[in-house]
Amino acid sequence: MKKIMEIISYLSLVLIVLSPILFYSSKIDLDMNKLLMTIATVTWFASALCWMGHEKKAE
Amino acid sequence: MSEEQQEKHGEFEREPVPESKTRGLKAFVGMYAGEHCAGTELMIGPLFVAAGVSAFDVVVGLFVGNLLAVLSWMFLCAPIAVRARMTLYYQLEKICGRNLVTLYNLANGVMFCFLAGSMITVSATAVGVWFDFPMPKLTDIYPNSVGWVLAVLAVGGLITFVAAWGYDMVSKVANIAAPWMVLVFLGFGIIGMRQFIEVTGTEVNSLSSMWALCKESIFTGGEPLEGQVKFTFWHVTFFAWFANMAMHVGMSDLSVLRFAKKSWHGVASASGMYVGHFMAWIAAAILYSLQLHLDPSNTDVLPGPLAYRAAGVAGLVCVIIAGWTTANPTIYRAGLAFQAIMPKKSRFAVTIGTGLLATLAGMFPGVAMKLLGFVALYGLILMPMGAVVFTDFWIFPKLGLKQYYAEHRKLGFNLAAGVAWIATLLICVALVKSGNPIFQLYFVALPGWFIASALYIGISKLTQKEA
Repeated sequence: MKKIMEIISYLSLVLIVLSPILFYSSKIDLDMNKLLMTIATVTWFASALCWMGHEKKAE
Repeated sequence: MSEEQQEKHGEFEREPVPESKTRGLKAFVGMYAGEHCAGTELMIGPLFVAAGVSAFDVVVGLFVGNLLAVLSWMFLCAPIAVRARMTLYYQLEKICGRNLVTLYNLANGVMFCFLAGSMITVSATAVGVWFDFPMPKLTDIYPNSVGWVLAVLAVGGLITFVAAWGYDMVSKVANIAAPWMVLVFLGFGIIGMRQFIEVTGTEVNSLSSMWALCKESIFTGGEPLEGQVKFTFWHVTFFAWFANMAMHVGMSDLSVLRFAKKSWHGVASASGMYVGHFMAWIAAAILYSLQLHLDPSNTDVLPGPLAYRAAGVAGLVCVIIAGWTTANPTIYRAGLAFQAIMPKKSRFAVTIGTGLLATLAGMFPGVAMKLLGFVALYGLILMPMGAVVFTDFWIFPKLGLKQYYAEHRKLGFNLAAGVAWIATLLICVALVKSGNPIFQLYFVALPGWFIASALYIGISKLTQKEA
């Protein structure tokens, strides 16, 4: 489960950068860019909370 | 005390960090990158544009200035940190005596309060996007509306109570937010560039055409906006170099880098400089420049609306979190500095008091709108003590002078260090007031460092000889 959350987190980070790049190359409009960045933000915080910070305790 | 006990009582605050507790380069890279991508970056970038910077000045100036900052961490701060392995406060106490350190703590605490205040200001601008109240203008010094005061009070109050109750929780949120926030800042830059391409109708298909867009539309140079100082290449370079002067030249980061295995690990600061103080400043500057391009009369530097126009809710969340997560440790540090002066007061009470003071400062937009000058002043005030530490550590043994003189003579106030600090500040203020452009607030800390070192050596020779 933790591994899956980690993968989802990294994918959301990719989306945070990918969305402005798609907007830059005129593949999406600004509203779509805002929506994708918001979705990526919510996903990042929701998924990262499940695994980030827990690694240190494991060490 | 055992190592375990030392850690419980505050991480080797009164003895050198043992070799076994040192950390590798990686630990510092992440820390610096996160710490220097803060809410204030969203003010500084736009203020560069307001100061009339040109494309060359901002890009090359930031590159050179940040390089100088990294070199200062590597060659001034880190070598002492890994040899002495003590906190700045403990080292200063041995050099200056407890009473002088108390004065230093007071100055440090007050400056931290203003800095935290400007971070609260940044977060409060996001509230203005949801609630329709008049927000401060670039030239405003005092609060300009009841709505603004209430917004700052709400944000500052919340930050204060969380700092007092749940510091660990905020620290966790800050760690989680750091990688996301860096990428949102990058997104701001990319989005701003695209919008510039659209509104100017420029065709960008190579680096040279992008540079042309930067020169002709984004960073056009020219006169600064009303109330701002004109920034040249030298202003940008020195500003970037001295933006964290308190930490490198001023030696605050002795407390951090004493855990580094090697002194060259100071190079980790490059992650913070080139992510936060290069990429993030330029990205925020692009958004503000776009606002000016679309409406030259709209000179307001308001990170909330700027970020919202570019990235929607994600941008707003970025502004709130960037201000919140960096105001929190700043209030905490200010609280620590004040608690050293009032050790009988509880941490909770001191943090609440400190946070409310920062909130009060945040209500005055003059602090945030004049952030370039404030940051330069902050470094200048704490810099002379860094010169004292440097001189005491490296030069005193070569001159046959006694190191850690206050500890050696059991002094509460080392006159040489105290005079070096206060006299340097007075001389620097006089130089700034002289009106000579080479002694502007942004540059004066450089001669100031040599003045502080010379005064400390000269007065120490006299006082140590008498003793």
